[in-house]
Amino acid sequence: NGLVLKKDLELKGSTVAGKEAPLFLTADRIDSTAVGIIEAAGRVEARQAGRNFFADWLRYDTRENSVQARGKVRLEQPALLVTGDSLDIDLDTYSGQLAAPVYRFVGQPGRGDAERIDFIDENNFSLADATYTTCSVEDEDWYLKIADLDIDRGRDVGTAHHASLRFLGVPILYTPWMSFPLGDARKSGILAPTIGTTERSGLDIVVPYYLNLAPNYDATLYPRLLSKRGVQLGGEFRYLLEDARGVNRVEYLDDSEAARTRWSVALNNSYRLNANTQAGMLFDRVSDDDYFRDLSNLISITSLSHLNREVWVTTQHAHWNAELRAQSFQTLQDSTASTPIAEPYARLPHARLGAAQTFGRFEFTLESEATRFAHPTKTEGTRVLAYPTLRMPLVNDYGFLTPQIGWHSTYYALDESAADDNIVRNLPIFSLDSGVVFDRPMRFSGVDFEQTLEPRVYYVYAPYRDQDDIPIFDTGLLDFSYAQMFTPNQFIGGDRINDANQLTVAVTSRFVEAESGLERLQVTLGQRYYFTPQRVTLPGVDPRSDNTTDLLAAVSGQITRDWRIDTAWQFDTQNGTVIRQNLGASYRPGPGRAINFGYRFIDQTTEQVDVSAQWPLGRRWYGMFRYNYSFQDDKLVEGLAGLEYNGGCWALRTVFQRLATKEDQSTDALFFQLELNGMGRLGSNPLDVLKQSVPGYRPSNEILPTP
Amino acid sequence: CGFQLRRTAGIPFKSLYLDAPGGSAVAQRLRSLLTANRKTRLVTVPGEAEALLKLTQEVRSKRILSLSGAGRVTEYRLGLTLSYSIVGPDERVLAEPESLELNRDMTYDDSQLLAKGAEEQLLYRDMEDSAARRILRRLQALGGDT
Repeated sequence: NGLVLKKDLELKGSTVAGKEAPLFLTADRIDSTAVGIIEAAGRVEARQAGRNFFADWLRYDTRENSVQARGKVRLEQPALLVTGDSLDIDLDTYSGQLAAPVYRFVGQPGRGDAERIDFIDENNFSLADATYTTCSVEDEDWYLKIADLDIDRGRDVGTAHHASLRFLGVPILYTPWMSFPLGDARKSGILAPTIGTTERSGLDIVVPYYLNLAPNYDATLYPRLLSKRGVQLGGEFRYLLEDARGVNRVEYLDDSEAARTRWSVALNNSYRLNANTQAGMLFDRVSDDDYFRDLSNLISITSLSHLNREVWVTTQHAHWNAELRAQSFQTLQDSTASTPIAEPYARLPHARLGAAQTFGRFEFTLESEATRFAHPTKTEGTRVLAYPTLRMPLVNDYGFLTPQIGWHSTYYALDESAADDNIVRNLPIFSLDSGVVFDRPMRFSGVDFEQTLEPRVYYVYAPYRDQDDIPIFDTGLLDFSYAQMFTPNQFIGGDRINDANQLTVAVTSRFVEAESGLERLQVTLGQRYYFTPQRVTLPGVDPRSDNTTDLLAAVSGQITRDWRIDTAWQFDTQNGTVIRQNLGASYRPGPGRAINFGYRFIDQTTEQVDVSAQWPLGRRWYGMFRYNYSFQDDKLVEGLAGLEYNGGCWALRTVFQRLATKEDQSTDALFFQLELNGMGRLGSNPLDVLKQSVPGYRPSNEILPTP
Repeated sequence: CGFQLRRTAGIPFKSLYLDAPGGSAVAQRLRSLLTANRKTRLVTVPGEAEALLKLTQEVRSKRILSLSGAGRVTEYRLGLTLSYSIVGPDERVLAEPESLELNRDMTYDDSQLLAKGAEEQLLYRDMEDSAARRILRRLQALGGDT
């Protein structure tokens, strides 16, 4: 499509003058037939106030300020381009009509024809017996056939009475009334429906209706028909104000399959009290353990085992921050599991205060908290904890040395079921962190790099304190990782402080592109050495027997524009076995082209492969795929195959998915979605499924055609 | 093997303006790292700075990395993405804009909900610290070697 010079739609100055501006007229012949009447014939062009009229014949009444035009009429105005047979328009009010119009919006897709168009004012038109589509000219893949169509270009909304939707010539939907957005703006209306079938619920049809109540709040209603269960009613209300925001959702289903009513409530609201202080609440609750497993197909939802309920206030200042929180959970059990899922402690309430201050060369920090831990069956109690530290960082161009001393102090008040109901634990923690940076220039496949070599040594000392009587409220062992290696306590949570006399040695090497300064690859190797045997452990866990930890190695980076790798090994040097391993690579040469590969291994718990991709299969076809198989369980975790066709002004996608939801249960689902560009869309199945399962997935109609 | 103790000229600007959204944790880390570095002054008015460091689109993410055959999460991948650019006071680009994508994998056990929640926060802070240090190294790289 070659470029063409286009006459300026608006004669400069004429728009500014507005309706008072003069009408400029050119034609083969111009006559004044009566007082105030001007008639022009042959290649007539009239311009006034940003509006251009073209016709074979035009009559301008200067007293009425009205225009009549006949024969190949074309009207160009800021909101609309329209051609037709005969036009009558009042230039004072822009009211009038045009017969047999063919119209196109300016600045956004949307076009069609009609028997007649009535101009009501500058931005409002009414079309009789009209069609509407966002497809390009010559493309009639889908269109709405509408008895009465009102267009409001001020709000960019179309309102249709008696509309039927024809897709590839076949009428597929009729509605006595509908309202739809013009362009991509969020506007009230029906969003793309999803049609699917799942093993557990039968035919599954969702027709979301979006209500754009105001620029900063909206609602979506999503009635959903599940043939085996009944009709689920759901609604979501969102708002975004200067100081407050929230997303609130409720769902209700009278389930004939389960013979009970089922519901879910999810409220999430936060409020900014001032520049530093925020408050919020989160309330998630469902009617029963299997609610999500039965009714959702998103892994992130079906895998939920705890639902959070909390209210909180936090405040952030230059030298201190604080938080107050009350939190409890709903635990969703798996009826087929051999052991029930442990219920976490509720924190009713939890208060935290942190502070940081610099005094010359010294940095002071304080972490303190007080929490009441509540549980229906386990020992309950209150814990008060304070951990002030003082450090003195010494830094120069090539290295740093940071000695740090801290005092960890904790007090427990436990209920009668505890062995000892008042426990005090005090201990000092000393650490010394140091590192230097070497570098050298190097050249690799024609590119100059700066390679660094950064050895780092970290020593921690903390004396032993007997903690066997302290219950475990919120504490666990940190994963062995680079972040953990340089943390004084290998436990997270306040109930265990390790007895430490240990040295961590690690080396990092970075490859930085010399010209741009971009880091391309990072290689890390690290290990820890213990000088004394371990004595503090979690209940039921044996103390460590050897004096070294596993060796940790990692290689990661965005090695080229298209390739990214992420690999890590945790190696038990004592027994020569791999404890944890992760091999990951992704290749994304462009939108719509993504391949991800992952292999994950964790001793005793996990061994699985995960391959996913989106790739063009033809000019308009895309294939999507995921295969996630667990060797540990000999079971498919998720399998997905999808196909998508981009019809230019529409897209059709279909997805088949198998998902493990319980120990002895998987669920199958098949989904179809027809999306008509410019008619709105909800992030619904199967789009959310695809986005979660195939990292890098892009809907085909969002991918811009590359020349 | 060619390695030498690093000798950088440091950040090649006497003053820097940090343009970041209010809640940016990376900006907070950068501020404290830059305050410790006494050679470059952080200014509060963009017009007074020799260079502007703009941080945008700082987003934390949490994605399921592996599920057990029972459909329960055994590993999460936590992510931090952000974009930054370094421009002069005349909007001249001093360093090609970069999008950072960091991630940390965390094993998960739903019987340790509170501990894993705290570990998650530790790993996000670790990523924010890494991101801040990477941006700082990029700033230093603009100065070249002495």
